[in-house]
Amino acid sequence: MKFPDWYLKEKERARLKLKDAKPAKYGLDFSLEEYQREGERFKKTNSLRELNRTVQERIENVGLRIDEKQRSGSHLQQDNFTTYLNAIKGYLPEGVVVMDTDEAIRKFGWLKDYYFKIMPKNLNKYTTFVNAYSKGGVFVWIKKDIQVEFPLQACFYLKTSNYVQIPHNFIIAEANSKIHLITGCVPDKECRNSAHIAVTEVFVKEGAEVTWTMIHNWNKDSHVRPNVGIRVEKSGTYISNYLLTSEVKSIQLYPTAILDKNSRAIFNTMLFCRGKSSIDAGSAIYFKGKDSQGEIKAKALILDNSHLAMRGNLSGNKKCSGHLECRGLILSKDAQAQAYPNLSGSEDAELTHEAALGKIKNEELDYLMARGFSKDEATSLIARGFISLNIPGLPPAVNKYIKEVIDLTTRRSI
Amino acid sequence: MEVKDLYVQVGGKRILDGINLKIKRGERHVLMGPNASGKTTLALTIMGFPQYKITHGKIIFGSKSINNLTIDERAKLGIALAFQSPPKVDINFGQFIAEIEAKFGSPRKRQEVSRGSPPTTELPWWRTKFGEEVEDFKYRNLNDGLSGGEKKRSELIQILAMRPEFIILDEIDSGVDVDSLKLIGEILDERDESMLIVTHYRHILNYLRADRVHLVGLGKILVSGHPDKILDSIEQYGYREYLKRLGICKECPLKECVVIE
Repeated sequence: MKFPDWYLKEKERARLKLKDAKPAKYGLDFSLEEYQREGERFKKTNSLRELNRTVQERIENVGLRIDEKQRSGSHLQQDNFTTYLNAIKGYLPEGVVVMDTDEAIRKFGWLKDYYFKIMPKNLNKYTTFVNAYSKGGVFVWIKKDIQVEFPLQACFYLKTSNYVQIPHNFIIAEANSKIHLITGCVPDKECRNSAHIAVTEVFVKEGAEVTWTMIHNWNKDSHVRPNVGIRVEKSGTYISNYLLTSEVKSIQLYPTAILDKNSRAIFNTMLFCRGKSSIDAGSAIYFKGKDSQGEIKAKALILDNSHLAMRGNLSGNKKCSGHLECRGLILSKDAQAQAYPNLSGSEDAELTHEAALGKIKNEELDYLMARGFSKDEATSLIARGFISLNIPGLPPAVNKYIKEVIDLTTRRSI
Repeated sequence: MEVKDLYVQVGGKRILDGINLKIKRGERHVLMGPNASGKTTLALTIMGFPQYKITHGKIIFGSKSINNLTIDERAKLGIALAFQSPPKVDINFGQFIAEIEAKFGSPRKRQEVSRGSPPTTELPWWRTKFGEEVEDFKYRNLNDGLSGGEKKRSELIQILAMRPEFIILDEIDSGVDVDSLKLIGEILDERDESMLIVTHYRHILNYLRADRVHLVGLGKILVSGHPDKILDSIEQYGYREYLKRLGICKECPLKECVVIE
């Protein structure tokens, strides 16, 4: 099946626009021209168990279950090719469609009405780039009234060096449906100078609930730009959990939710800022409908020589309520962090924020040491408590991995 | 536990001026005295807080000087301190108790192993001991949103989990209602550990029997003696008047501690 005309024309126009596209407002700017977009085609995989053990471990650390237990389905994209798709019998209801985005665009003509309908096409050169060259991505469509019990898991795996992965993802939750999507992004250990430039558009329709847990574990030379736009219709709920566990060359994300009447959005962000990472992470909620509610909670452990900008924006002119919290624990004298909490509202909007950056208080360390813990152990315990994850459905491997990361990074920081 | 001729400075200011104190195994000693007399300083110096600088003297635990040990090393030797105002820390209470037990060995588990009975999934020991009011501690972070009495219970649970040999209670009775005071006092009274009880009030001593009371002032221990002989007089006269009656004042330096048996 061929791509529809509208899509081919759209790509063509975007390619012409690309040379004048402007850098992003936030985050480090880098050139997209250095990366190859075409690569070797990957063989399909019949089972996640067929992947070699090192790959499996890396995938597990970003939230996927190799055994697919307590999952309703799995999707695996290697470089720009979907190599595994599995709807688990008895767990993935019939009304849920999971497929490669390119295939969905060929199959569903109506997708034209969703394509770049939340995310502005030319927000910056990265969104234009995705419009011009996107390949693959995961398309999730949950039909009306369908509630999916177990999470659906998706993985973006980067194998080839000097390569850019360019997925365009869609999550479309029809009225009163419910789903939890866990996506993990991770490159191969040997993959050098990779980039991941993505656009994800999330449509939460009336009364629907979408939870999206995203876990990132990059290589120290990866550039990452996940651009996410969410629209939550009347009485809908969107919950985002984002976790970054590794060093990264640069990452910039600013998922933005637009809320209709009586709907709500919650963003939980947890960041390990390691090595020489340059991280610009924020979230924004626009309260467009009356009685909408939102919360942004971001926590970061700021280590080594990393640099972090934490952003948060709540903006509402109707009767709405929102709270924004940015907290950074700085564990290295060479690390730097800034917090930019921003509120904008009219009389009926109840918007609050708190922001705090600083090191662990000596008082807290002394307290834990008086319980017999060494300074290292105390630091690690405090860091673990600070970053504690409370996301249902994550495999034990993730918590174990996070504990290892905390023990490793805090030990080094002292 | 023995403190020998201890001089301590905090931020360059001398607070303790030659303290001598000996607590034998299993004994319970009470430190009383007006505000800023140095009671808490002594407690925190024994625990090893680095801002309390020992300029002279020794702290001996067992048979060794612990002057050069860090806080955690002292804790591991068996010294446990219940803080007067514990800080809020982002660590889940239940998990933290589990961490402490993993470090010091859980008393319950040991008992069960020795009895040969299978491990139970019953309530944790601290829940059984401290009653329903500590039920929701397991959902909370350390000292987060706790009332005065709850904080003290939390402190006590933590230090009992350490299975210590020597317990320092820094105002375990302040900000605590009568019921909590009774519960805390009674739980402590059942214990065998040696104790140093820092307090302003005698009420806790109605439940927790003590062997000796020391009155701290001017950086020294001014008066020591049997609780029955000292507490009534302090309550009747107040610290200043009581000391005056014993012939102790700022202007009349004291050569030795007054002992009242």
